[in-house]
Amino acid sequence: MEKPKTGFTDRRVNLDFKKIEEIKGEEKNLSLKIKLINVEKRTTKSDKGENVYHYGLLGDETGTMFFTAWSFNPNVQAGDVLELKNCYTKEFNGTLRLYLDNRSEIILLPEEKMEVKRSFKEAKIKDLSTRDPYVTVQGIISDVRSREYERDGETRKVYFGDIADETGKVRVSSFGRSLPEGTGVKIEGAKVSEYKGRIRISVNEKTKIGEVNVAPPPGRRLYNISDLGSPVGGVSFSGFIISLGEKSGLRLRCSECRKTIEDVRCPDHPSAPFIYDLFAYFTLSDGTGYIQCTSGREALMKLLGMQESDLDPASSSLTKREVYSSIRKELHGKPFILEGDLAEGNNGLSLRVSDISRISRDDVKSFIREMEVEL
Amino acid sequence: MIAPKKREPAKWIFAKELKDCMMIEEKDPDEKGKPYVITPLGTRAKRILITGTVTSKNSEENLTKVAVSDATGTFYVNAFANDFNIEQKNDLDGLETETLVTIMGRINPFRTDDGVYYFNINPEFVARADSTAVDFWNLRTAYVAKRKLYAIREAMKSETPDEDGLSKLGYSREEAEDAMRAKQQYKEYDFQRFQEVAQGVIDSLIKPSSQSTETKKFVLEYVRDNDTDGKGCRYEDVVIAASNQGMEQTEVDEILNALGSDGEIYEVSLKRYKAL
Ligand SMILES: [Zn+2]
Repeated sequence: MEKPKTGFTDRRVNLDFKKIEEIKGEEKNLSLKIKLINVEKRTTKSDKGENVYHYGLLGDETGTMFFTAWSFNPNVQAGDVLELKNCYTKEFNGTLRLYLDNRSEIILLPEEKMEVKRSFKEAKIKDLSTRDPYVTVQGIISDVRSREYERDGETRKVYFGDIADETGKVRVSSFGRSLPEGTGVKIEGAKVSEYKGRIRISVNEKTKIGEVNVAPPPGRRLYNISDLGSPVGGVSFSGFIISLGEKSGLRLRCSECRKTIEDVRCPDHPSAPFIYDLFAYFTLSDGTGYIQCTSGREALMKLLGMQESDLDPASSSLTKREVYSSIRKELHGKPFILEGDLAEGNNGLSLRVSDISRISRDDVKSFIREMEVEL
Repeated sequence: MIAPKKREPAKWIFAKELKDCMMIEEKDPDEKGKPYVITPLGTRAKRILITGTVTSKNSEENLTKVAVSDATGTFYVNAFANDFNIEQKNDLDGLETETLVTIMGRINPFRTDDGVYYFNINPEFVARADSTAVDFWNLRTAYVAKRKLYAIREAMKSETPDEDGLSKLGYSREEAEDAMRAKQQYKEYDFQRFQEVAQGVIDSLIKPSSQSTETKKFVLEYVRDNDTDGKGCRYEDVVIAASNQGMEQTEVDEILNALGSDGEIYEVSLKRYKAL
């Protein structure tokens, strides 16, 4: 990469350089000196073939701004300090965004250091998205666990937990710093990422964690299926179950390796006995859309009124057909409230159900009250 | 793991929304199945989910026809005895009038020579329902319809409405598209009337018990006849007597409140009632 002669650049262009806080509206021919905080590549397909663009976050001593680059230098990466010339700003989804196109110039300044002034948008958990990778979230921490790992010959610790607000719940991980169980926290500069189709946040040394008073999360966060776009957890939907997957019902697992066994024996552990497990996949329709759901044994045992002993092959003998029919009889064509965690997959969002409960008269009454508030 | 095909969403609509429909979408010649119907609220539907009461049934060897009524009108459900529908036909044959049902099915439109549309439902599943399921469906269907009506009102107000503008007001993409379709294709429709019908459904759910004259009469007469010590009828006694009639305590509370505000009874002292 060609580095512009120092001195020359400084004298001539500095006059035109703008700081991020000075950009107030849609502007053209902008020159900026910035640090690249985060950059992602995206490929879109159209009739005319594939189109690649980059987007992310950049900042300087005065603030940060999102950008989209229709044309980009593939050699620069997060952390680099750059000079950008001939770019422009435009409003997108209500916020000002910086754009680079094929007339823009990107110059790497390898020697430069820059301290970026970060300001993080406050986000509700249901709105967390990797498109907005650094945010401030508030919520209550629960289920904290930790794990040790080795790095550079040192033993370090990573903490995991859940963080919940009134809109949803996601996994939070923290390297080195413990997470306060059962406490309301404000996390400034949490990094949003997606892992196995689910949103999670992580904190690092630079993230600020402060204790705050947070209202306890509600028992149930009920949504319309059309409301949610992000794969977050701790959400509920109400509707009719309109289809049940044919392979739902009883599963046999190897007691040794826990893998599903198709036949009577595990190919790897032919002498190990099998254990019973329950699984179902079905579709919920709520009038605003539908969502694919999967459910494991806990929720299905409750639905079918089964005890642990009913799933013990030593004391109980079940057939696939029986279990399928009893699940179908309970679920199909009937109204339920399903609670669980959303996950993003090839077919869009799906719900991993943790609780299935039949809609009761009292539920209908509380729906009426909620509706009167909304409409 | 699971790779479901993109399925055709089941729309929740009242019988009135389907009956008032005067438009079907031009079908791509290659497209299989029936065309989409476009309802007055802009709903674009091939498949619907309904609940209601079976009001009539006509079973023949080859075809069973069932009429299912909701609070706003009637759906006509037909199943033929062919390979695809035999299970559904059997399910329809098993229904009696007054049975509550939940049905998902495909809309089968046909047009008379004078240009009037009629719609049958070809069921994909038929399930028995209880009153809670029916109330829940009514409530959500009214909710979905009212949101659409609000979006349509916004679209009508604006000189140059578009989907993006409506989305910014908080409507979903689908609601925005539906509102635009309604504005373009049903300009003369009586949306106000539909609004009243939807509100009527909600109102009937809000005060089901106090509006049922029978239960109200029962409680009133009980209060009148059971003032045993002259200090007023005991609340506990009303609850027990009502529960023998299949009423829940919350329902009794609502009726007592309603009778109070109607001036039929008054509370003499704590939890003691006298009829006027
Ligand atoms: Zn095994």
